[in-house]
Amino acid sequence: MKTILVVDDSRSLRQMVTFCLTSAGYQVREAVDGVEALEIIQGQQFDLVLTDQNMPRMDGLAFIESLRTQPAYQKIPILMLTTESSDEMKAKGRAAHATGWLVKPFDPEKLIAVVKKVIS
Amino acid sequence: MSMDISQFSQIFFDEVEELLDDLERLVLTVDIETPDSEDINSIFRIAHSIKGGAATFGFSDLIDITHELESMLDKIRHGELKFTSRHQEILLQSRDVLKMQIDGLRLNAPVDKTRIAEVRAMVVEAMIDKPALSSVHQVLDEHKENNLLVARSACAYARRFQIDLPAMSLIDVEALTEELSLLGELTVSSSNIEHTVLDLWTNDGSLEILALCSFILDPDDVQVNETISDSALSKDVNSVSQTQESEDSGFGFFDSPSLFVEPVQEAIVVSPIIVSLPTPDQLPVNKIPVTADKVTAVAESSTVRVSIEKVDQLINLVGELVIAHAMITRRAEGLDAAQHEMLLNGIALLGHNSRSLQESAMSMRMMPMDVVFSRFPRMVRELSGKLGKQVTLETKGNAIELDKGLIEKIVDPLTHLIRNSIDHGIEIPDIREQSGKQKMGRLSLSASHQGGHVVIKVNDDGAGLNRQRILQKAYEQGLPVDDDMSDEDVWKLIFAPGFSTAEAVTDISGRGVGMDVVNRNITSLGGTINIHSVAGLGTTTTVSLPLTLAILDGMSVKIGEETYILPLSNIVESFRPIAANVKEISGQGKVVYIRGEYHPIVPVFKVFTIEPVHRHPTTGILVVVIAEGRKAALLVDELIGQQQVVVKNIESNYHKVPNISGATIMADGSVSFIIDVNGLLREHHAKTGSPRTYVGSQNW
Repeated sequence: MKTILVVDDSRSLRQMVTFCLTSAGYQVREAVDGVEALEIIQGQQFDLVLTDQNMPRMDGLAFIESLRTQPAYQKIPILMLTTESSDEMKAKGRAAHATGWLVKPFDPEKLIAVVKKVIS
Repeated sequence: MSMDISQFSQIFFDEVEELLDDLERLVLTVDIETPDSEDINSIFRIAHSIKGGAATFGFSDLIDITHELESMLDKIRHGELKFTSRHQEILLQSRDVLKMQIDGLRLNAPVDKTRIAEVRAMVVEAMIDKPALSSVHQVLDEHKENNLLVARSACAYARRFQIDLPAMSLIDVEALTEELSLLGELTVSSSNIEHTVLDLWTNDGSLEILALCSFILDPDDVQVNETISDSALSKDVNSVSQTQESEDSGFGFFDSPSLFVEPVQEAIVVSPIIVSLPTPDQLPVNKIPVTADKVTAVAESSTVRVSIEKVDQLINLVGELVIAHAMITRRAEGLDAAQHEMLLNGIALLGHNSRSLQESAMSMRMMPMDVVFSRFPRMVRELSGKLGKQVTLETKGNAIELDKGLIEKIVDPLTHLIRNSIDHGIEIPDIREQSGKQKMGRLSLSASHQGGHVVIKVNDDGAGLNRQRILQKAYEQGLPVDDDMSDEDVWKLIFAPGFSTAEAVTDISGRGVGMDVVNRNITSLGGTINIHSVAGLGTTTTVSLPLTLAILDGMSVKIGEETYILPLSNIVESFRPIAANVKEISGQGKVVYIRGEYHPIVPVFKVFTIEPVHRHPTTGILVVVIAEGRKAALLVDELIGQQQVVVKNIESNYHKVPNISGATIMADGSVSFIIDVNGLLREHHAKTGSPRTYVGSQNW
């Protein structure tokens, strides 16, 4: 079973994403922000990381940058869930070596479709 | 596959309420003169999170105002707008509107649409208003906004430069920024009279920039530096247009996703450095494969939400367990200690464990005082503003815990006490200055543990209570007073029903429905209230509450074959009177004379129609109790002893029984009733018309 790390400071959004992904047969672990996510990945390897951008303590971009410095996470797909789809934000996402982005709000179906594309 | 996400609405509502509480707290604590950027960021994130959640869960009504708030806060956090008290006010009003909308959505509460529109307009208006910005900033900001628009429509640029400009006139800066913005996306990083720093995204080089600048100033005075660290980013900017984006699909990839599928398989290894406690020989070479199945991906959370009914059920069951233990102990008392050592040890251990279990279960109902205290900063702010007073509020002991049921019931009395302190206690700034005090009044709220009680103090440094005026008013209202009364006794007069010394009835306090209600509420919770006041220095009101409503400190008394529990908080003293001090008053029954006062004797056996051992006070025992300012002596057969009892509600299992507030199971398994002293005294008073006593309550 593929495991996914979901990083978002909103409890409701985290639970919704978890619910969608678990019903699609993925195993999910949640983190409330970049700092907690970095702690979690120390002890566990994930197949995909989904992260929000705007979070306290450490935002999504900083988290992705930090994650990419970890040997085990250089090639793991990382998707950004963001409310901003401006080119500026995409440029920043690319610079941080994210794999792709998904604009919030999104349909559960779309989320699953995108996830399937990345980790089939 | 279709998925129902409506099940997350409740969580979303809870979350928004928490966020709104955070918002209020942050907005009230933020320093207006020099706002902490982290505070502003946090406030921004709250608006952002609510908007994001609302969009995801389909509550479009909430998006409108949060979107405007987000824009306003974004400007503030980027220094384009100076944070003022106006913004503070608007944020508080927006909080209220959002709360109203949430209540509307979850509870079908009425929603005032015009109010929403008003507040939204206020937010929009507050964004345009930039009174604190210099004209240079304003001009440059306009450029920036224009350029941002250009940048968004024209995609991105390859290189980024930082341009440092020397001191120059406003017109020159304006002209130069206009010229430079032709090259690409220009933003003003910082600007003051001596120095202006510009940030330019462009496809041109530093030569072109310098060439443009040389029209207006000496090129040697301009510093143009390419921002190297971002050059990687700029390269990416160029290729954004080449990313695999399905337009309008709401998602996209920077590289082909298929590239990732293969490496993923290979990548499911945990780097040896990360693995906890690897064996030394494995460290340098071996990679330890960890399959996904071995890894437990349990979503961890530090809290679990449980309904209060479940917690209460648990507490009840644990209560039964404690009683069952007491019964076993009682039965085992007669056993020979040497012969049954193992059994008796086991019973002792069971007792120890069940008491720990009871404590743990009770602690689940406990909530920090902060839940109550956090309501007051805003109230204090608004009230003091309304009254033209300056008040700072300090809270202490926010972490002290109290039973959830008590927490909910303490809010109103505390609100009242705080209102009184601001309205009657703390003086207006001019008067404070005249009396040599600081203009800013101080109000402090503190909670602390004292024995089995939580003590909450409301303290102000205001004018203190006016002894003369209280005595005057009390006299006018026909209360028993005299000029020699101690201060403590005078302060207690304000607990009399309808008592108010306020000269003007304001919409805040002074209607005289105040302190007696506060006193009654606190007493009904098994607590006490005391006032300490010094003229000119302030007033401290001390409220003492039991930790929980589920356990009661009681005195068990025997009447005939029955055992009753009297709440310890009601008991003043117990004694057997001499015959000379017991008098019969026609129509009012017997009274007893104690230290200068007559108190009615309530024969409890008559109230509950049981056959007592002693019918006369001189052979039985009188227990003097006090409730709601009334004192009376209850006639009982004997005192058994003081003990903690677990309160069982009768109303929820049967129906309300007059003069009984609950029941408990005793150690021998029998059931005892807890006497409702308030009700008993009220009923006795109604029957006999005996007067209340406000004086001489030394043990109150």
